[in-house]
Amino acid sequence: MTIDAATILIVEDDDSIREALSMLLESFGYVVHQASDGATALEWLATEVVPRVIIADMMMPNVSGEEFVLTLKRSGRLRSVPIVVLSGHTSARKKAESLGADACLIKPVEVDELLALVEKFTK
Amino acid sequence: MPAKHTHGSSDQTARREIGPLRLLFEHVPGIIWATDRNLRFTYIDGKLLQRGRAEVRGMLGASIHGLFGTSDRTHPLVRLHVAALAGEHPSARFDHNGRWYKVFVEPSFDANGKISGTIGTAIDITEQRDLLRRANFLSDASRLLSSLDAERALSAVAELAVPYLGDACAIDRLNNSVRRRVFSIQANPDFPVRLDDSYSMKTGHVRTYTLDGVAHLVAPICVKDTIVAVFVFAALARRQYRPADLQTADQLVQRASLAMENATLYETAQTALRVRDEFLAIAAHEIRGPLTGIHLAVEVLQKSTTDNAKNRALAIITREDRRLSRFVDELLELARVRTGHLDFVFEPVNVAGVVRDVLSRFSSQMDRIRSTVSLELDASVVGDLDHARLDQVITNLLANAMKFGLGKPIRIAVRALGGHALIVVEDHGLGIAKDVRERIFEPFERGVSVRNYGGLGLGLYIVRTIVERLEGTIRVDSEVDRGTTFTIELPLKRRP
Repeated sequence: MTIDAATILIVEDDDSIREALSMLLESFGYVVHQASDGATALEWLATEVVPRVIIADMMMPNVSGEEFVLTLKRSGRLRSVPIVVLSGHTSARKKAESLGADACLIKPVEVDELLALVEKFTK
Repeated sequence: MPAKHTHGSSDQTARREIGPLRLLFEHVPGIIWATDRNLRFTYIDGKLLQRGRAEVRGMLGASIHGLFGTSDRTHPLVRLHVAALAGEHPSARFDHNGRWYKVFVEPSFDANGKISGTIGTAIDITEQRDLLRRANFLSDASRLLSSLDAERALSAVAELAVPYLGDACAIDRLNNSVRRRVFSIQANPDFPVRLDDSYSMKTGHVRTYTLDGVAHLVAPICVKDTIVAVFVFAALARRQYRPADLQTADQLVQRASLAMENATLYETAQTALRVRDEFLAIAAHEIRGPLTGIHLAVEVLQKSTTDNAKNRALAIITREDRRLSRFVDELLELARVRTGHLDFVFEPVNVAGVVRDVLSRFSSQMDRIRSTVSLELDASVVGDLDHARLDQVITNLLANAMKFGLGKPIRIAVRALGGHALIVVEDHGLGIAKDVRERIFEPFERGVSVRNYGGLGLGLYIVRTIVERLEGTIRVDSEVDRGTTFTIELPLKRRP
């Protein structure tokens, strides 16, 4: 890890997943910001630094994952931020692709796969 | 039938030529005639003569052309005779005065084997033809009705039935005895026939009547003794409905009834499949969530060096492990409810006590959602009930009130009411729309989207099942954005 640690935004309404994922990524030296729904995440994105990667759940209250990804991909400032979508439904893969997400992982996620993706997008 | 008639000399000549076969000819069902080489009648069936047909009687010795008032050799019937004179064995179908005949004409030969004339036979095939048409019609109708789209199948049958069963046809659908015309078709749209729409009818009875000179045939389609749709046929006065038409209509509606029943079953099956698929998707989601948390936390446990991180990871694993267990319990409970294997242990149970037990379990959650609970408990209400099941009922209702109560006050009341325990759980939250209220107690149904609220949608279904097993009733009153009240009445004593 470089001193200039990469910031990752995690948007996930499941407390355990969000917390564990944050701890895991932090242990690899990333700076993690957590949001428990799409609306909160958008608020944070409007004022704070642009993260290097966004990991977002598909099924969330207050601005669903779908709306969240669409909003980001339509935004001039945030359009180029890679988005990794998480979903509990296998059918989400196609959906994520059509929305313009950069990757889609089906829960329960393969940790190595997730870490590899994050590493690739933060390089 | 013996021939008994008076006839002219030419008739007698013909009869002599036909000779001893005459009796045989006159007893076969068809009509028989014979001509010479010039197609002049040499014999005409006694059955025709007997019917007193003057024009026929005068025909003996005359040319067959006279029959058609023309010497036209291209008339189909004349062509048959001409073909027979050429040694052929032609046959053809003709209609005459509303009846259908199959006509065969054969050459006849003299003693030297030379063609001396013709012998014609006509058989009345009207009945066979009608039967065949009816069979074809019903078979075509059955094919159309095999579609699982009942509405479209009925319209297609109506199109097929015009003009066979009438000059116009309408389909009325019935819903709670409200009649709605969903389709109508006219044989000749330029001259539409008025279709009655204020007819009376009885279940399973095809009937016919005349209205303002228009013959009507009304054929109700029933599913399980309830009229679900009606075919209304109308025909101009020149046509009267005969018993055969009623039979056809009757067979048509029997087939249509089966088709409608199949369509209903199909719809039910489709709904069941949809509900099952939704259930599986939700179940998968409910399992994948906790598993993901556990996977990630295990990874953290392996990587982390601080006790703090390890403890947090362990806390997550414990929490998600419990969540999975609860989910498995819920699935098992569902299996028990579905198969009727819910165990009940009846004993004297203090209802208010159960409410307090449940509430104490919820106290930490209650603090988090900031809801307050007001209690109106009559501690003297004791019934012959199942403690664990009653706990389950109140747990489910309270969990719902907290989930959908938007943090507003919740009220729980227990009191006695005429040999019953009355339990009321009231919230002031989201409320339930009317259409949702009607299915809220069904399995896998939920008043809110899966997106926002998880769970299998089984809570109220299990509540209802338990309440019914306790011989009680459950009612829901609700108004959107105002809140929901569940009211349960349980008999304090069980029926012997």
